[in-house]
Amino acid sequence: MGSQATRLAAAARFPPGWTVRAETGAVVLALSGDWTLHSGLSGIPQAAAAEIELAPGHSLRIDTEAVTDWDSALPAFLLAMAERCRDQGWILDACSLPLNLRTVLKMADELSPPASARAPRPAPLLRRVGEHTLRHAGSVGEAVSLLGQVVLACGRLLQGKATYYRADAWLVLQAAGADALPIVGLVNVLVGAIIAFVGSVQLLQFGAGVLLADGVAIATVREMAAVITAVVLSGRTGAAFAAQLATMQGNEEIDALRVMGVPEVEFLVLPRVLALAVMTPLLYLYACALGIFGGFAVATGMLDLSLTAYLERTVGALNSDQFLLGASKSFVFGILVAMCGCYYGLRAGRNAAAVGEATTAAVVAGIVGVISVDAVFAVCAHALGI
Amino acid sequence: MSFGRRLIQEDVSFRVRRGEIFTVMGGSGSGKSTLLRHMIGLLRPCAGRIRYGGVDYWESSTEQQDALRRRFGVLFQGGALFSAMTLYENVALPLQLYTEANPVETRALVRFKLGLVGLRGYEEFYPSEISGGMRKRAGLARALVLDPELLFLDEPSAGLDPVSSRRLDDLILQLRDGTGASIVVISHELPSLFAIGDNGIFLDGDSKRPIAHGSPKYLLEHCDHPRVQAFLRREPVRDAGTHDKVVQDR
Ligand SMILES: Nc1ncnc2c1ncn2[C@@H]1O[C@H](COP(=O)(O)OP(=O)(O)O)[C@@H](O)[C@H]1O
Ligand SMILES: [Mg+2]
Repeated sequence: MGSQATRLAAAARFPPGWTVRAETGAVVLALSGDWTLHSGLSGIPQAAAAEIELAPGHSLRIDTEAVTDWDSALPAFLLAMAERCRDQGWILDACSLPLNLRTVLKMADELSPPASARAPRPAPLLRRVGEHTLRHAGSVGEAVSLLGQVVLACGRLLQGKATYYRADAWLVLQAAGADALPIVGLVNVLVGAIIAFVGSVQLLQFGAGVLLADGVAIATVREMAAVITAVVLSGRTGAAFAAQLATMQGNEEIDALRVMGVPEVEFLVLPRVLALAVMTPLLYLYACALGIFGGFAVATGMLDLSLTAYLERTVGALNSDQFLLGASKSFVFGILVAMCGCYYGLRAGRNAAAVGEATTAAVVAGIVGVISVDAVFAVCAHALGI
Repeated sequence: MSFGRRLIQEDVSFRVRRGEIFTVMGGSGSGKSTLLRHMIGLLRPCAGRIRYGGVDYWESSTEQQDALRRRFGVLFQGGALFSAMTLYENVALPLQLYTEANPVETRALVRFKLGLVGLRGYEEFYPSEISGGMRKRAGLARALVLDPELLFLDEPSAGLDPVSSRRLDDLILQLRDGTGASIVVISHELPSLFAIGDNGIFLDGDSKRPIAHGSPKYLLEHCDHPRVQAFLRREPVRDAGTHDKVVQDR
């Protein structure tokens, strides 16, 4: 191929060109000028190819004598011509090509693909809809089966027979618990403050400002602390679980575990589910304290309630049942969020986009799941008169 | 070359001439891939200079560095294909980014390059659907697509069968002869080293410095360092090296 210097220059020295001329029993396609990526071929190869008219069995000779410079653009075009010749039943006469051009062409043309190498065509719409539906129906079953496996793995853990990696379990516990403290704390202080602010504006209209502490305490302990904490954990920890497992899937790490005879549910899912099952209720208690503190901070600012008065009303408004309700909700939320993360992580595809999809799906399913389960809890609590 | 305070190799000095196939040899973990990452501008060396035709890579402006890098073709050790794209899209990406090739030309070029590495017909496959050796070859097709002046290949024949590996050697020689490109090859494959290497360097992991310079053939005949000989002849190291001494002392 021509000198490197000319190839790098943006403008070609000789514009590319072509002519077709007929000889007896053959057509000659004569190329001239620079046939390079940067010489502005824009459409010339196709135009040249379209010009050729030949009866089957006749030969096409390609003459590159007038070509001044070329790079891969020329053999790429010639290869396409060779394929076209095969399709049309023409004979490509390559003898007049320079030797190195012929060698590259031969290398690129050998090893024709096996018929099975072609990827399948996209299926028709109706079929895709059907497959999609069946897949969704199947995925419910998969999720239930994963839950069952986790319960069984739990049983094995209690018998002391589960295989897991202690260091990894500790890391998960730390990531799900201690590392989440700042963000869970911040969000709950703000939520407590917002409830207090909105509440105080309303209550002051009735001159019932003293009831603010009751309102903040009940809203926080019964609902907000548990739900907000679970939502934060879903975005933080659930997403991390999904991304981690999906990446492992892509690296064949999960296959390696299976081959070693380590059940991935015991090794990967169980520590994560247990970590959130334990940590979410603890984070919930912490969130309650900070939520009430946030409410207090606003209450003193707006109503000038004293700390003792505020605390007195708070303690009076709460009872252990409410904490029990919130903590048991948190326990369920924790399991739910961890299961979503692990489930979507484990069934992820094996590429970079799949990691993103798994993470998104895990967070969406986690948050929707938390809110839905919370609604069920609200109905049950009402029925039980808590 | 070092990571933090951990020295990988020092005193590395060599020159790759135009149209030369330069081989980087050395045991696993001796720093070959790291040297490559220095050469392609991904890692800044902690001392010394890297020059391309007289231009110091790390002293030049970002635009100059980009322009230099555009003249490189790199095949990474793992292939480094974009997993969310098909082979066709992977190979076509540099063309779409840096040339004005229209879709028909792009298609012709991609098919040509995939044909060169023996992967015609696999355009619509995703990297996760093909074997490791095929991923390597697809990575090579992507590295070749802009007709680079400087080609860096990290263990191109690892994971290939002997026939494909031989074909790859032919392709490398053909590329060098056809385009006049300089090619830096990291390889453990002895037959391939002897077949293609014009010049080379041998990195030693124990002493953390290169211990031999020259083409693999030359080193086989003229270098009497035991570790180089062991590598090139595929034999155990025959010297009372540090390891043996420890055993004897006991
Ligand atoms: N990102 C990194 N951080 C720290 N050390 C590294 C890193 N990459 C490689 N190393 C170390 O550098 C040494 C050489 O690695 P590498 O260049 O990949 O070897 P090879 O010669 O097999 O290609 C190894 O000892 C490895 O542990
Ligand atoms: Mg390496």
